[in-house]
Amino acid sequence: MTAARTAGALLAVCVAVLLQATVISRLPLPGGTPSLVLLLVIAIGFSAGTTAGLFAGFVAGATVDLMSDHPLGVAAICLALGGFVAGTLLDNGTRGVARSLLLVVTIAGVVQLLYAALLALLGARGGSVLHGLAGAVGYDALLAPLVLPVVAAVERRLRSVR
Amino acid sequence: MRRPTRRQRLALAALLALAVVLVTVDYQGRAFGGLRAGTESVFGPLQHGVSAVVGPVGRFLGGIPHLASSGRRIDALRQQNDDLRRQLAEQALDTARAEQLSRLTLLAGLGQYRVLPAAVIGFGPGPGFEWVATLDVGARDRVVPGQTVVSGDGLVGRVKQVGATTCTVVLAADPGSSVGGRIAGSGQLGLVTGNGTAAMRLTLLDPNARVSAGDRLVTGPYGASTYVAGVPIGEITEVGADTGGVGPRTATVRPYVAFTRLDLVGVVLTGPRTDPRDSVLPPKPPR
Repeated sequence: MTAARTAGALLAVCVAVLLQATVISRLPLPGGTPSLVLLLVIAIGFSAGTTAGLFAGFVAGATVDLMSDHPLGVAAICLALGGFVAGTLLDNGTRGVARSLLLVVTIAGVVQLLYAALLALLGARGGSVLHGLAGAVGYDALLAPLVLPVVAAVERRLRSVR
Repeated sequence: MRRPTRRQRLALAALLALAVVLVTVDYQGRAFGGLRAGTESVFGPLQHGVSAVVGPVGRFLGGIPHLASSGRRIDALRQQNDDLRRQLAEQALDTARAEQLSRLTLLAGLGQYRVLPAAVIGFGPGPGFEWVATLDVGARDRVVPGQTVVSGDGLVGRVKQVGATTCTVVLAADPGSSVGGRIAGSGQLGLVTGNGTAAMRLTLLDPNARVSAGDRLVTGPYGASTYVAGVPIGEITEVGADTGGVGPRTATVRPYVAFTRLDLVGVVLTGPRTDPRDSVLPPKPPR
């Protein structure tokens, strides 16, 4: 993993966390909120590989944790797993678009379920995450076709930077 | 499917273990306050900036699903606002009416008059510069021409014409109106003439009568006057020059009633059995 790609991933994580906190979470959408940070981590795993997904997920999760009220590490576990699994299951270009999308949405759903379960286990408000889960996964499915190609394109561009 | 290498699996295990340790430590004793504060101080200003830039856009986007219902809501609120405004205005009017009515009742009680409350529905110096008002009571309410009309403040005028449900009142301010008056206390008699918007004029019977500013006038007997006795007319503001008994003695009278602001009045159906003398007059203002 080159320095440029690492910096790019970090920057993308920061931007995603900011956008999630300031814009997306405030949209009064019915049914739930899409998770841009989660989609970004999955997209990084998808295009840059297992290791990139794992570390991007851990950093993004830790940042989310630090900006939230629950104990540090909860989102880090979920997102690190999500990035890792995405990097393992998705092989760039070898699957059809529809199947890739289905996998992305499945991973997103499972990760959010895990997140809700962990929060509930720790006595935080896991119920609220669970409540909007179906809506959130639906919005993720809508958002994924926008996020994935962008991340893939940027990753390809940065790979050539040495 | 890319099988993770041994190193990748190790990294995953290490990171997960680290995260679990972090959760445990943080859950036990909130150990990362400094780290949280640091993140806050880095992301806080950025959040402010992003919010300032995209906040309006986000709010606009967020409002789109509610546009139709917002329009309906605005209409409903506007309607409600109009209703409340009208109610408020009506309430103010009702309060004013209630006060006028209570003063009219007080005056009627003091003078032993039987008064029929009525509202002024038309007013103005009509054709021929007559000061007349139209009331919403008429023959059906046993109103007959010649009856005295009062308000809570004092004398308003006299019924001139009666229809079935309305009647016309010549106001005491009408230049053609003459009312027999009596000065409270001294009992001096005179004739009070209307003068339009200007003050009324009192002509005394006795050229040598002693009058002074501040004296108060009530209706009294004068010729064939059909006004009921004892209704307050006004207060003398200025006394004309003493003519030494040659010409008539005159004075200027400020009426108690504001003839341009009449609203609720009363038609005196039956006068008192005995002259109430000065008992209806408002208390004399302290000097």
